[in-house]
Amino acid sequence: MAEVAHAEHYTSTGIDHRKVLMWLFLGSECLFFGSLIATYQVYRGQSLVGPHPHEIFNIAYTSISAFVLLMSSLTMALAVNSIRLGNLPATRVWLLLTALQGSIFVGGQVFEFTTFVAHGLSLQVNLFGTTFFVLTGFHGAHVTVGIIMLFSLLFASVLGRLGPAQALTVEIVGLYWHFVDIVWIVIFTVVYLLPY
Amino acid sequence: MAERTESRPVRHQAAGEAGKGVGAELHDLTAEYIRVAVVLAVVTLIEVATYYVALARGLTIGVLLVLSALKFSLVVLYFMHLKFEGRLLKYVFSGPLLLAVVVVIALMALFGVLIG
Repeated sequence: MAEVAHAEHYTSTGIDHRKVLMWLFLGSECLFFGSLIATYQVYRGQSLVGPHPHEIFNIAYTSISAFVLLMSSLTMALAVNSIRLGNLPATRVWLLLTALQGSIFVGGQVFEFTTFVAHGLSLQVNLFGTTFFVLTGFHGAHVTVGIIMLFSLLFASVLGRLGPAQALTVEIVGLYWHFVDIVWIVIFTVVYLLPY
Repeated sequence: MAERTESRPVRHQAAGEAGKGVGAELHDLTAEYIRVAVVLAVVTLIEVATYYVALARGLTIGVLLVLSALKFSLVVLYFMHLKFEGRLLKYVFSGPLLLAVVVVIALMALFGVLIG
């Protein structure tokens, strides 16, 4: 019965429906994060009370965290490359490395949030806290969903359900993962690096 | 960066051909991906250095936005393979992306925070 599910199907575009759907979803996500970034920018520097960004940001720490997420895009691309070539052991290694780098990023974000809260920043305290936590929090949630997807792929491979025939599934998860990376590229610049 | 052409079959395997954008030809792209990653790492280094170097405010903003756009483009074009996809997927992604950029700029202009 499983073979029936993987039978050829018609597509008017020549592109698998799932892949088109993922790109459509990522397009909608551009608008979602665009609105959050716009809100952050509109209220940038408008807080009447502290803590203010320059008082609590640790750029060196966040740079390392951003670099880890950036390099996870490399390992994700290598995972897609490996599964296409039918190299399942390499695919597992790259998927695991990607998931671990994502976990390091999320762990780093949790530590950063905890530190900021200890410095008095919260969702309610000022406009910076509200816009910062909502923007970066939603991004962190997206990364967490990506990590769950990656571990699901690893679990499927352990069960023998991931092979070259599922290359498209790995590619689609990869598209999502790269997207969370490019969103952070923008957030890192706009929120952390641009002068206040 | 090896250029690949997209084949657009009417029928294809639901699984296994990766939607033709990636899996049409079985080239090992490891070297290409590593080259892109090295460029990304170097650009990130320049970004962080720009933050610490005391440049004029306008120049700092310009340099950082250009570098960020460069990194964004490299990931989308090479890691997400959009460079090698057909027009449909390019429009599906770049349309909303462009709209999002316009929304950000329009809101900033509306609230008077675009300049200064």
